[in-house]
Amino acid sequence: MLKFLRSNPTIAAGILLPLVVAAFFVIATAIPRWLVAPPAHDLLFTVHDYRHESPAIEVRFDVTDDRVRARAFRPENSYRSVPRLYRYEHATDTVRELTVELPADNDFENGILLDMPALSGTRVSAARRAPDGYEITGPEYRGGGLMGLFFGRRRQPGLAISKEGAVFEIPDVDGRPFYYGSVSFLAWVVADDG
Amino acid sequence: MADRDQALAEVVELMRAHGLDVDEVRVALADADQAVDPAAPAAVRADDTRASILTRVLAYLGGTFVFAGLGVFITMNWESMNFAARVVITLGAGLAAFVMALVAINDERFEKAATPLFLIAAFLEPIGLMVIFEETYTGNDWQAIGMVVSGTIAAQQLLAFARYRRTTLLFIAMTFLVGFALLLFDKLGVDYALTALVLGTSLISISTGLDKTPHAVTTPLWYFLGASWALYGLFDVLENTAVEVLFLAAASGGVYLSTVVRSRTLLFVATIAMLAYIGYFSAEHFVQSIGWPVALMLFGLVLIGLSAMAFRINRRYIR
Repeated sequence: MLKFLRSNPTIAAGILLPLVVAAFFVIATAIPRWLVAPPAHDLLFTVHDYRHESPAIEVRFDVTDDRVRARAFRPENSYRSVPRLYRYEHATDTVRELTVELPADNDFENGILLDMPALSGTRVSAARRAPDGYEITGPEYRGGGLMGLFFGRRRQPGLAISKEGAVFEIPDVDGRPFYYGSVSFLAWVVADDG
Repeated sequence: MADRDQALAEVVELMRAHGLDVDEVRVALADADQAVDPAAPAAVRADDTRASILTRVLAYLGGTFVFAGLGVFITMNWESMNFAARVVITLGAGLAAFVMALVAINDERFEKAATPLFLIAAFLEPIGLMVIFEETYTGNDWQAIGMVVSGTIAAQQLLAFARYRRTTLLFIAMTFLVGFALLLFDKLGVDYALTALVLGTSLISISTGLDKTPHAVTTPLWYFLGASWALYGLFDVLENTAVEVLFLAAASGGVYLSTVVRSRTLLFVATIAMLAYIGYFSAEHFVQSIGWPVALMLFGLVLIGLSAMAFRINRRYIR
């Protein structure tokens, strides 16, 4: 094999070129992860879940006084989009949904604040950049390009947190990838008191 | 008459020299009668050729119907098949076709069936592997699955190529290796313009080497894909930069390379790239100043000039 490649330098060059570029990209991706400290804060984000019918009661999440609030109300115009709250836990590299219970004995006409036991003792920061310097990126949309031409679709850069070239991709929930435009940043978890 | 006597004397001499008896010569004569007689009249030979073409066309048609029948059968019964049946009908049939192709290579009577069998195997085997992943894999890393499938088929074809040196095997292996590389670059997040530039350049480089081997028959396709990808990727990298005009130099380099490697396909792609760039450049920079009709006329003249140049290059340096 080596003899064949030595006697056919153009074939050898043609085989080596993609290998060198691929190796370069592997190294370029790996080096920042060795040099940059890993993330130190959990991430809270919402994903818009589109329904066939408009929900009678909507829940919106926001950050007030370093705390996450969930507000339930009866919408005038609903867009059939229900935000679902997720927490990315950096220590275990997992994502779990944080659900809220709607009280049965309320008409929600004026809107009410809901209890959030999962975040009752959690202080958060709504700044786009976490105290450790990480920021949320993606999910992005890329056109078909070459992959689209030959395989019908191509990889879309997913939801991730990144800092100085070190990228930690956030795993999908239940095997469903996050789509472009469906994810909203909510806050970074600064401290868990509870 | 003397010639005939002399010929007979030579035949007798040959028979004695090689220890042949009359029966063996009679059998050999009968076998030779089966083949087309080169001394037969031209009309007879033409009839034989027509019959041979007709036989081949009917054989290909028959093979196509058998393969189409298999495809229709699989499609019609797909929903009612269980996992094992789906794997057997796709991967099993593909592997069977591959083994039959290997057998056909070693048997002179079926040697021509090897290529279609290899192609059928290359079509069915990846489908079978995808069926296995579809049924057993719960993740969603479809690039990794694609890489495993294309890498497996490429490895199979390369191993067979190392043993049998068939151009078909090399062609199929290269096809799947290109697919593997596309998926790998996509997984690594390489920009698609850079992917096109790297893989295109790589394909051109490999093709120039393949041109010097007995497998040169496949290179026009690789030249076409390689040059198209490389120039597309390069334009994407250079577009709207200060050195955008370097694209024209690269396309001209493609024309020069086509004369060196004597590739008409490369000449075609490079000429089209030059035309496309000149058209793009005219539309971007001259339409507003000289007007669209004049720009169109100038572009037409350039088109005529370039096509004449390509024709001349083809006649003088490539043909």
